[in-house]
Amino acid sequence: MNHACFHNLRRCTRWQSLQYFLGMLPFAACLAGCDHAPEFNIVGSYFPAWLLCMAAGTALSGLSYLGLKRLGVDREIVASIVVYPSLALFYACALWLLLFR
Amino acid sequence: MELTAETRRRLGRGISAAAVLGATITGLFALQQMVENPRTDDAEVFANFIGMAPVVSGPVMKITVADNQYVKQGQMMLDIDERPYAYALGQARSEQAALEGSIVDEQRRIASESSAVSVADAGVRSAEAALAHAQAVVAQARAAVVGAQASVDRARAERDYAVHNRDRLEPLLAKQFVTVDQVDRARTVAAAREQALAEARAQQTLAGAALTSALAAEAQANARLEQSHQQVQQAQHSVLTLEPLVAQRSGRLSAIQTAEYNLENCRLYAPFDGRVTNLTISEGAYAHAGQEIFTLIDTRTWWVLANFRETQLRHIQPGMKADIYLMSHPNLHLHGVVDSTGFGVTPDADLLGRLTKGLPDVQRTLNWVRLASRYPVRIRILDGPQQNFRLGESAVVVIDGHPGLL
Repeated sequence: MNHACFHNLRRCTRWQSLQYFLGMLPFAACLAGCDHAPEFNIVGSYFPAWLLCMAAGTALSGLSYLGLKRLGVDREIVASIVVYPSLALFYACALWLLLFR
Repeated sequence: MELTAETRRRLGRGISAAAVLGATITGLFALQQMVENPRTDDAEVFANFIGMAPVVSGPVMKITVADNQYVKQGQMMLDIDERPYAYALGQARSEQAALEGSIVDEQRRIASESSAVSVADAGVRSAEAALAHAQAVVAQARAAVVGAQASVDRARAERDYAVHNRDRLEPLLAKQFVTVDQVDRARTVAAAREQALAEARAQQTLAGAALTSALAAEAQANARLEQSHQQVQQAQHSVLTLEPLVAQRSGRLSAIQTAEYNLENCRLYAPFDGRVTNLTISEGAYAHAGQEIFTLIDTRTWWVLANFRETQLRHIQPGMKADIYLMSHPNLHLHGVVDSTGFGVTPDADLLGRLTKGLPDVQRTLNWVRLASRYPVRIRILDGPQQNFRLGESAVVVIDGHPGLL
């Protein structure tokens, strides 16, 4: 269900979106328990975890924007040029602290 | 479920504030983590290694290890042709035996020379006896001279008496107071006494001559004694000593020990548990003494050499625990302990200039922004597959500094 939701995000209900993020949490917890090296091998190149966290944070920030837009709150965000990068940084740092501290 | 405009406005402001606040707080926590638990991905697995070089030269006869093989301490790895070193040992032993033979010969010669000294000593004693005899003869001759003097004195007294008696009787013959016979007898006695005196004088001369002869004999005996003493000294001086030969013993022994050492070192044994690396020769290759044939990695202790910025070093103390991840096994969490931090790296040639003799090579350009120097930190790996680590493996290190707030 979540998989389908991921591909049809525009048509998802708010509850489905929430369910998607809640479904991600066990995955994140699993990652934390896996105790992986803070670097990832992508075809022989080692990418640091913080870079991937940053990418994920940016992506999550984009998803948040879509969610807020769906709620109609996006126009009410104060100084969105600061808020969305802050959101990206928050997601990135939170992920990093959660998984690779 | 539509939100009212007021709710949206409040939600929008709340999310805005929460995002900035959340970013600040998580950012600060992340920064604190980075500072208090220094980490680096510029790290590699490291072990000490040695270049295995033979002590002796020669063609390699046998190689009993293969490249990349794990060897235990004491395992034979390489065999160099032993024959020349066995021959050298034989020669060294024969030279020592020859020396021992020479020492026995010399001992005999010295014994014979010592006997010559005894003979000379006996000559001294004989000369001493001869001297004593000569001295006795001298004493006897002196006594004889004294006796002869006494005889002369007595003969002179008797002659004087006889002459006086004759001279007294002769005038009495004219007046016929004495007979002719009496006068003749007195004359005869006087003549006889004169003869006796002459004889006594001759005896005295003889005794004097005998004394002179005895004195000469004594002088000769003295000279002979002196000669005998000199002969003893000469004999003593000509006795040889064993020192020059005995002193060679340690040299010959050392030659044997050196030959044994060389012979033993024809075989290369693993000095510790390790892994053979870079072995690229086969039997028949000529091994030169002191020249590396292959490398042996000491697999007893593994480290991670991690480069940390100079600003991080004050948060790293020897004894701190460290988390180690190998990129070959990203899910394997290894534990380590900081052994030591580096105390020297090559100065940056662009900054300080190259270190040369003569005048300092100072760069004219300088950078506004400089990069932190980094120093290697040695972290001992405590667990993991000690035999299967590879020197140079990429690793990530996180030092457990002070525990953070999170």
